[in-house]
Amino acid sequence: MLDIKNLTVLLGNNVVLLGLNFNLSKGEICLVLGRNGSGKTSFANFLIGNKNYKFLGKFAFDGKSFTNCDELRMAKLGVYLAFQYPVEIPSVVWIHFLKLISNKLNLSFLKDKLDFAFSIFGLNRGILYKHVNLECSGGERKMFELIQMLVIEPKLCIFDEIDSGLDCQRLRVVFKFIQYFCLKHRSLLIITHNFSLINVLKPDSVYVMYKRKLCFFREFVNLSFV
Amino acid sequence: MFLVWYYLMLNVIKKLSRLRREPDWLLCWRLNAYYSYCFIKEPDWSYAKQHQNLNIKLCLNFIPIMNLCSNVDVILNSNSVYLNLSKELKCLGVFFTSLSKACLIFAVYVRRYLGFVVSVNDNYYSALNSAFFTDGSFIRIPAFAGCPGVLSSYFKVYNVGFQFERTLILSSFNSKLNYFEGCNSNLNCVAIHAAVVEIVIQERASVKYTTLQNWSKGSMGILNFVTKRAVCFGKLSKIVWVQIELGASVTWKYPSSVLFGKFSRCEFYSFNVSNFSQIVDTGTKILYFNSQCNGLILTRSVLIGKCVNTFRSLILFNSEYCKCVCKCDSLILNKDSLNLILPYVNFNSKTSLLNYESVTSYITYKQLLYCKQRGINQSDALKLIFIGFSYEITKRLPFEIFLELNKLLNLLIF
Repeated sequence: MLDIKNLTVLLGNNVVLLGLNFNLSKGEICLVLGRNGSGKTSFANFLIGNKNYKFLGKFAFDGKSFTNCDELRMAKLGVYLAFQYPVEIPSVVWIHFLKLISNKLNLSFLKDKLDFAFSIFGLNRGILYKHVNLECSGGERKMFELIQMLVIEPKLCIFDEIDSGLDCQRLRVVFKFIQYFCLKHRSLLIITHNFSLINVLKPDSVYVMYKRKLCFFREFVNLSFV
Repeated sequence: MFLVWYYLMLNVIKKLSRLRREPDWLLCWRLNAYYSYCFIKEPDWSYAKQHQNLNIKLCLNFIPIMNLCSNVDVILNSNSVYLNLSKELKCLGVFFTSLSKACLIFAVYVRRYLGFVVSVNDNYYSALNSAFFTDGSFIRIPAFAGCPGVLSSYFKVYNVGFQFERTLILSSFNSKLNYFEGCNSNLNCVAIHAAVVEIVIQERASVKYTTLQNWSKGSMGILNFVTKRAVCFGKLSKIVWVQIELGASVTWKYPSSVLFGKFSRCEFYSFNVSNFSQIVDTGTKILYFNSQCNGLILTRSVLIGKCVNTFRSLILFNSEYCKCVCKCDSLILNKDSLNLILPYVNFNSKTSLLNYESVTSYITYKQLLYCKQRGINQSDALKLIFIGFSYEITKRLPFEIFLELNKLLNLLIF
């Protein structure tokens, strides 16, 4: 699904990623670890087509190759990023935002999804009427990222540190949810600092961002440097 | 040269009064206003200089006399409202007519209260208006009457010239009024609109005055200089100003409230959108002259395009235990626009409270990225944020107007 060869990503004048090679197939769960500031979030931002990042090299998604960044195009293709620090939009209410996002015109579809999400995550319906990310607690913000993912049903889901800021109970629910969310046509890319995920999620591949490249790790013997 | 012009204008006023068949006391009043107008200097502060030089000096010398006696420039919907609500209104005892009729029928009220709230020599434009006004609305609500529905007037400007209207609203003990004013004009219609609105509120009465102004903008647009003032005379009286400004090349409009009664309240909500090199200078004055009064100011302004937006607030605390909460927000969507928020507060009391907050923001790339990443394209995202920003104030409009306004706002951002 994702085919990247010899990629160089630039943020302004800085080189963030250099000579990166990466492959992701459909239905694969992939974990990305790495030090703070090693370029994991930049990689995720590049994948969604953030215009601040310029890139060189071969980048193909679903067989189609691209040479420039375009957020809307990547969103239409089915790439979704659950942000690490979701931004606040002070004048928009969640329920309107979710209605606008949901592709299907059928509103009962949205209602079913929301009922399911609220029942498994243990949230109350009142938070739907808050302004987007404005008066929400940290946990609620992360939950809303997951709810939007449920509504959109993307093909490639990128989680930027979904497990930071969630309490243990919620974490268990979220990991279960992530496991069941990964289907044959959907692949996940999880950026995290948490090692226990390797045992819990049983990912298909684990990568480490090291020296501006992604290195593939099959056996994790000495991981003291991450 | 000045003498010639002076006598010419005097003749114009006398002719106007005669053509409208006004009583003598009104002619005297107009002449008084004209004398004070001669001594007031035209205001030249603010950014409206380049527009002012264009029109005022030219047109004042050649007032089109044809417009003076007819009602063409002011089209009031009071006719149809009067017919629709007339039975209910008559049963309640509410008077809602045009001002010229009211001068003849209800001369007692008009004579007592005309120029009472906004005096003739208050400012240059009120003097101009008092001398040359043509028509307007007159509303009087008797005691214990709650007006059913919304009384509304629609003002439409068709041709070039001067529009001088006056509105006089009198409410008595324990009455309620919900008044809506919609203003519109043809495109490319250059005119000076100097109106005066006076509201007198007695004990326990409440008046809600809503305005939606969509005059023509651009270099050939309307210059809108309006003086609006409400006086809360009795105890426990309340005035609510709601104004939505979408147009006029230059707007100088400061709906103010003077709180004379104890425990009286005033609220001021304003939403203005400026675009196409408009100069919008709005604000409010709240003067507290009695104790335990409350005031609330909530304004939102959006600057699209190259324009100047000013919001001035003057709050004068002259008595004890008063409270005022003021929140001014603005959203800037263009690099070339100028936004000024200028508060002026005068504390003459030791126990009053003022809570003032002003936030200016713009839409960041991260917010747009968040929306785009979810599949919402740029113009939809801007519309979402824009309408959400306006909702806090537009929700206070009557419902049909709210729906129409949302459609209009959707067209403003593209």
